[in-house]
Amino acid sequence: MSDVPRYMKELIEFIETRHPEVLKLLREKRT
Amino acid sequence: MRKVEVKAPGIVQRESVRERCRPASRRSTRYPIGRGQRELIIGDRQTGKTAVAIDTIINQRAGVFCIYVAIGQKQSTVAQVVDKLQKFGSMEYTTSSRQRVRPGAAAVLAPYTGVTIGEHFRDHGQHALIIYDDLSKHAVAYGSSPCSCAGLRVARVSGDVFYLHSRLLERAAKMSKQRGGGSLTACRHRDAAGDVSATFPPTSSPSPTARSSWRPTCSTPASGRHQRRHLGLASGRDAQIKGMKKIAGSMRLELAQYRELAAFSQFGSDSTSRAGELARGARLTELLKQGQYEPMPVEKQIVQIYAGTQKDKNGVSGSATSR
Repeated sequence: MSDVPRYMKELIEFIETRHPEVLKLLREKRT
Repeated sequence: MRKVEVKAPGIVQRESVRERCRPASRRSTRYPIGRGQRELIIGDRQTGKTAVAIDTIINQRAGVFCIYVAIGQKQSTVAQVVDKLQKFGSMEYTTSSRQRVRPGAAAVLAPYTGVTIGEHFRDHGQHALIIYDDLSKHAVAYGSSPCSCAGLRVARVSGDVFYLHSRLLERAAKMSKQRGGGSLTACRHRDAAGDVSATFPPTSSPSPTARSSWRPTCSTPASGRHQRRHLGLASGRDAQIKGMKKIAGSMRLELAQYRELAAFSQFGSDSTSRAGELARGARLTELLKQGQYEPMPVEKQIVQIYAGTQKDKNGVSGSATSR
């Protein structure tokens, strides 16, 4: 269980580097 | 010049709470704070109620003016909070209201001063957030002040405190467009332990806050569950963003089921058959842990909660998921 935060950090890094458009889309589509 | 004690705006002057304050944590994203809402942050002593408030202030940035009302707090405690806010650059849009002399009349008036500052922004079409830290101490200060009814002072927290606090919290509102569209959001703290709360009627605290309450800290800080929202007492779903509403809709129910199952599994013998569900619940709980003063952008919260709530990912390790 203690690895969950690390996995989540890795997941965010992965999304930020490989699929930054996903975060951009989520950021813009707020309503 | 404004009066500190005025009547709250009527229902015609208000409109529904639809806009949201910027969330500070994954928990508050599941149960958002709407602009104009009244929140109750309830918990035992030394368990992170103020941390929830500071996190919320830090994450507001420009656009929402914040007022931190310290009631009956030690000067050193208030100085620490202000120092923390300065460190994160939040004092540019934050005002702190506190009494500089010993508790008494000043402590009674502190929340009124704060809410009057907030009303200024609200009435000028701007948005404000006010944190009352905490109203339990205000109740005690009021009980010992000459303002309270002498006959009720024996009970330490007099009965009219409920009326006072309701009236105070009613001043938090989302105003209609004709009134400028401003808002004042109120978060009140309440200590769940000690003799003060014992004298409160059990229904008094949640009711003025429109059934919206946080119980940040049922458990010890060592367990890592510093900030936990009370399940089932949340409102303000209209203010939640679409993406989060879609992915985290069932999470609340799953967590409630997990806690129930975990409580029963302590006594039962067939816990092996439900081991998968217990492990999944533990993972979900772990997912919601977040460091203090580390607000996270909402899009990242959505990604993480989506990854954590997918049922078919139960057997996939975190490393595999990240790949």
